[in-house]
Amino acid sequence: MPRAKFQTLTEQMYYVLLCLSRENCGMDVMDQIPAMTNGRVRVGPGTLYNLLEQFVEAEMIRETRCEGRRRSYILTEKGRARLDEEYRRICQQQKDYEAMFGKDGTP
Amino acid sequence: MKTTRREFIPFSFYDHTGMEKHLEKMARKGWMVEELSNLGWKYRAIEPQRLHFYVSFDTRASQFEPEPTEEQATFQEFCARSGWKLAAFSGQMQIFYNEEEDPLPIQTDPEMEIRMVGKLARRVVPLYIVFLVLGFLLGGGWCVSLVNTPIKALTTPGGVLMGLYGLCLFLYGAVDLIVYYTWRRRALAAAQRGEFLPTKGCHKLFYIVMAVMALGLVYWFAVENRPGMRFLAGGMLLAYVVIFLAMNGTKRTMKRRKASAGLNRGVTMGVDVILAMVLMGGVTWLFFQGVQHGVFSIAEQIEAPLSASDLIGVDEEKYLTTVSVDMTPFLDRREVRCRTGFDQEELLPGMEYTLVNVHVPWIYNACFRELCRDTVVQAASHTREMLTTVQYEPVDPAPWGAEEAYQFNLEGEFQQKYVLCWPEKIVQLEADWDLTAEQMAVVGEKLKSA
Repeated sequence: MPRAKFQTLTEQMYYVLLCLSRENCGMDVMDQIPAMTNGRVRVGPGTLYNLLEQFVEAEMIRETRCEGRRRSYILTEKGRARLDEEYRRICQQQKDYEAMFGKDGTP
Repeated sequence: MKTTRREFIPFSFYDHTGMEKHLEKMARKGWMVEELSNLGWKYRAIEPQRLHFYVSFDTRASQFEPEPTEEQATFQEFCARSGWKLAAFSGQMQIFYNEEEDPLPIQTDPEMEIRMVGKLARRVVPLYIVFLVLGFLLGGGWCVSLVNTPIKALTTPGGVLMGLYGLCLFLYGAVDLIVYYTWRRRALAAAQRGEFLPTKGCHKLFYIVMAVMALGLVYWFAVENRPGMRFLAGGMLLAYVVIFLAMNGTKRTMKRRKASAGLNRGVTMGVDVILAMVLMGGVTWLFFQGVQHGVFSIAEQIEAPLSASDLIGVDEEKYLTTVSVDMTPFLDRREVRCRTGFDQEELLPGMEYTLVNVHVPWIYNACFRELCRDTVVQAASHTREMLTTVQYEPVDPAPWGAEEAYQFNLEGEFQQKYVLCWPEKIVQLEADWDLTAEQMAVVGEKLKSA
């Protein structure tokens, strides 16, 4: 079964939301994510297009501007809350790791 | 030198990987896809090169759209941003290509890709289920009759054709759906690990099914002896092809003229309905006119190998003898009925028989059982008695000159119903009078060589 929608954010979802914490053109997010992650994370145009649609539908982002086909979006309260939740989950993972191996990675 | 070419490959609806690989192969050969339609894909000549392709599905779009919808155009702009150019589109399908050596894929999330195919599947699967039910009823019904009543099953050309088509429909539908759902299950598991799973469709099976269906049609035309039925079926088939071509032509012309999707749908459907009524109605009208004016018959004009008049010595004219013949590569069946002519005042003893020539030895026993069992069941339903009280019993075959002979026994009384067996030949005969030894010899002599 596919995972429930946005129950846990994938890395690509996480960075798309992160980029939209400030008003941003959807298409530009495609370039910003590799720049932000040193090319570690790349989001394909089809995936980005679908994610933007789904985030709007889930009211996690909202459209702010539309110039021709260039649409800009910004994170909503709901989206921010979801992003925070994901951040805490990742932090908890980090804490769990450190409890096991220590901060420098040695047990 | 050719600058365009067309091909039709019946890819499974979900097999985007198969389509992409094929398009990459075509580009290496110097062909770029530029048009998609129900009649196939059209290519234009290009410099042979290594290109990457991606096939995307959008179920919101209609096949009648003259141009990509606003959503599709936005999607294309997203794709263009990372070097993906639109090669061709048709309603719900868009094909992109990329000239870079290692481009950023259009989909980088495997779950998104599964969802995209899943949306298309939700549209297509109900149609498959209709095909499966139809195929099961037609094909399954024919298989049951092939086991229980092989003579009837094999000598009804339309039945053979429908049975075969039903089986093909069921087989392809079932296999394609199983392959799709297997891929989906495995792709979802792979997506949990962040991996993509390529699709693998069933278009090769489709070719086999199409070949079998074409052979079925050839078989039908070869076996169907009635010129009227040939005309009717051939005419209907031709009408269907004309309607299909006209429908696609109208849709394409309207798209070229940039008519709206709604207008295109309305005009195309209108042309389809009008043409269907005119052509199908025209063929049916011509058929009835032909039958009425004797241009062609719907019955075979074949003489009976044996008539009641041969046995009781009355003038043949006094009898109305009807013969129906079915000839197939597996067996031939002749059904003869001799009854008193309508213009006769005196009632004459009648006779009827079914003569079966079996060309394939392994169905001989099944044919024998059918001829015996049918009469037993018929008799049982008349008498409302248990089946055990009616049956064929072996009798002396010598008077008939046959290898084996059986006579029908109803509650201890022998009836004038016989089953006579020769190698490759079985006859079921019923007479209204007690046959003499001489008459039996005549029957045996005439039917043995028929």
